[in-house]
Amino acid sequence: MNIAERQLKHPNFVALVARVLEETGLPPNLLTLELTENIFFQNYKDKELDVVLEQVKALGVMLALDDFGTGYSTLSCLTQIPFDEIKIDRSLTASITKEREAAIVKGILGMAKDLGMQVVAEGVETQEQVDFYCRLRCDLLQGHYFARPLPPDAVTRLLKQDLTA
Amino acid sequence: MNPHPLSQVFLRLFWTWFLLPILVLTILAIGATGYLGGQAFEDQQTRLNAAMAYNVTNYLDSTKRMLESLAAYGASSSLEDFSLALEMQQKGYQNFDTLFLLDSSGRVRVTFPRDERYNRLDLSGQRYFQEALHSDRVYTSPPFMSLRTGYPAVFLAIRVERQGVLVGELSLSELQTIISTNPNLPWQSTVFVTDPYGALLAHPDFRRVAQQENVGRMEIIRQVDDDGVTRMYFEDGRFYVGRASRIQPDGWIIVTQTLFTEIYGPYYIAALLLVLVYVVTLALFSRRLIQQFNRRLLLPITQLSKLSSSIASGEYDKNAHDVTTIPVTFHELDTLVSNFTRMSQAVAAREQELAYMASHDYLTRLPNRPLFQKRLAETIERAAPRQENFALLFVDLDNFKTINDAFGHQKGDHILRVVADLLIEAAPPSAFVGRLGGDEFGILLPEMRYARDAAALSEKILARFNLPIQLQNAQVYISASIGISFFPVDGTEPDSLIQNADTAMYSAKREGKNTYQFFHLELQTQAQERHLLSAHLHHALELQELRLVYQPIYSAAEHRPAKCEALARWKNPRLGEIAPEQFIALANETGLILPIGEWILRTACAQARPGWMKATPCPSA
Repeated sequence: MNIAERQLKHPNFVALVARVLEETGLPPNLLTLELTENIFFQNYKDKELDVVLEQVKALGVMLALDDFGTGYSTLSCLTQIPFDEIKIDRSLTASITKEREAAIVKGILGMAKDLGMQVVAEGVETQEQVDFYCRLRCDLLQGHYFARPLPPDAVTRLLKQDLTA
Repeated sequence: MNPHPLSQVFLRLFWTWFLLPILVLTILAIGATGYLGGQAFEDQQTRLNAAMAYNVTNYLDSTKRMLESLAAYGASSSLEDFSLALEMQQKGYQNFDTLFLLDSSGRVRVTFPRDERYNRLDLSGQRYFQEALHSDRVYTSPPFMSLRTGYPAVFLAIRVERQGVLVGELSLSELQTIISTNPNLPWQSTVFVTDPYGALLAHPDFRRVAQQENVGRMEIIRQVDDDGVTRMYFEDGRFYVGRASRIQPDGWIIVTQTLFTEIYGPYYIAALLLVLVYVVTLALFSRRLIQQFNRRLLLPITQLSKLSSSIASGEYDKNAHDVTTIPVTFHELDTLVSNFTRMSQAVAAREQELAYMASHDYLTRLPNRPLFQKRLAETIERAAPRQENFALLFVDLDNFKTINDAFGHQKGDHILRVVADLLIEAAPPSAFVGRLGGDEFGILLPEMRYARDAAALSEKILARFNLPIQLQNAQVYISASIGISFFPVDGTEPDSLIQNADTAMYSAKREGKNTYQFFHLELQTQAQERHLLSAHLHHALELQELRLVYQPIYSAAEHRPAKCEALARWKNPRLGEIAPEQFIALANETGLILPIGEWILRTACAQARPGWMKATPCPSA
């Protein structure tokens, strides 16, 4: 799920996450918090943010860098924060037919591999895009090609079908 | 209780401690003088009265002695000898107008001058006969009008052994002479004599005696006793001081009286004149004193107090030169006035500074929002009747908060000061630049009529921002977003003009910042929509209008769902389904993202738990 900058800066954020995990009994490693790049651009000197993210990581929760490839991308935040996952922005996926963008995506995937991070490609809608990412050994794909956002019970049904299939 | 005005206090003090004591002392002095004078006069009256009483007593006693000696003679002689003696006495001395001898039964035996018609006349019923018959002393009758002489007279009667009663008719003319011709009688003093019952025996005005007037009604007669009394009284329209005393044994009353006004008139007038001069002098002196007091003390103090009142009520401008009109005639007042001037100037300076601080921003020295709004209102008032239009620019720095957080407030303040100078420099001379909020500035352009000019100015300002701002050890590039509104098309009130310029600025921000936007109605509609949306979003949580959907994420290798991303959706019964980007952005701006984010976290974690974990290796929000 997406986490906004304001939430992250709230002094009780870490305590809240910990409490919700405890109350629901959800294993922390199943929860991934997605943060956009902008947060780091605008707070690139904010050490407190680093501390918060360290604490979240310590809970066992996963961190993802969302909308990667747009806005003010700074690679430095990848070195600062121990992200578990990178999500390639849908706009980048939409333009992989172009040579430059394809090269960038390749670069991202290579870099993520080296850093030991999973990569999710967002906005996958065509067979061509699926092929492209599979060829590059992207880990996970998200988009209308596979499924639209579904209500909880539909998700449950989908998972059952998948198991039985 | 409020203190009284100085003039009243002074007048009261003046009265209590100056005029009143002087008046009281004066009255006491006059009283004492009058009393002492009265005493002296009373003594004089007493002496005079005593002298007159002595004279009258002397006269009456000598007359009585004569009668007594006749009676003694008659008691030891024959009727003829006695008659001869009586005749000689009557003719020789003429003390008595008539002498007559009554026998013991009250019948007339003989009269002198001889008159046979009276012989054998029975006078036994007369009082003088009865009184004399049973007494050893001479009896004196009340006055009566003598039929023989036509003069007022009294009877004196005495018992004569063996002969009967001797009666003498004593004319009062001799008494009249005694009281009228006393050389010791002071000027304007009179003497009169009455019998014990007030019947006049002698009076300077003899006619009153002749008319047998009775003055028994007079107070001094009624009150007289053996010691005598002194009184002041009105009689016949005149004011007298008089003394009355009784002489014994007959109880005749001697009254001496002096015409008060005649005696004291001159003194009285002199005293009145003196008092008049005194009072006039006192009045003139008091007047002069009060004038001096007014001019030297009251007037300056009143003026000072008026000035201080005007300063207290907030008028500072006039007092500086007004002080010079205060007449300063003594040292303390001079000190007071100069101190007052210094204080009032200090107060005025402070007041100006306060007014400046209240209407200006301390940091940038620019007018603050209230002053800006006031100027805007004034500009509207001027422009509205002339049907002129003018422009208002709303300038907001982009990402200022980030810069502030990054470099610290001190540097942020420095940047704001630089920006303020920059805006003033860029704006035309007729413009009015104010700081509306943290990093918001307003530029009022009363003479800007055309949109193209406003656009040109906006571009000029944005171009200026392109230059870096030098901080101590860094260079900062900042940009701004500008919103433009025009009077009267975009608003006729200060608030709406600022609000709409703000809305246009916000639109410029959305356009990607570092640009400018004119206000147009659609922006307002958007703003209103946002406002409506935010109002509904406030209640979306408690009304359970939010829900979560999950987009599965597939593994590329197996094409199987590996996890899913939780996404929030909002459906409002009135507004319908609202786009996530729209309401999430709104929630971020309004701070509602905190409760909504918490709800998403809780809900996703709770919904993920039941089925999915068993089903898939990694369901995840």
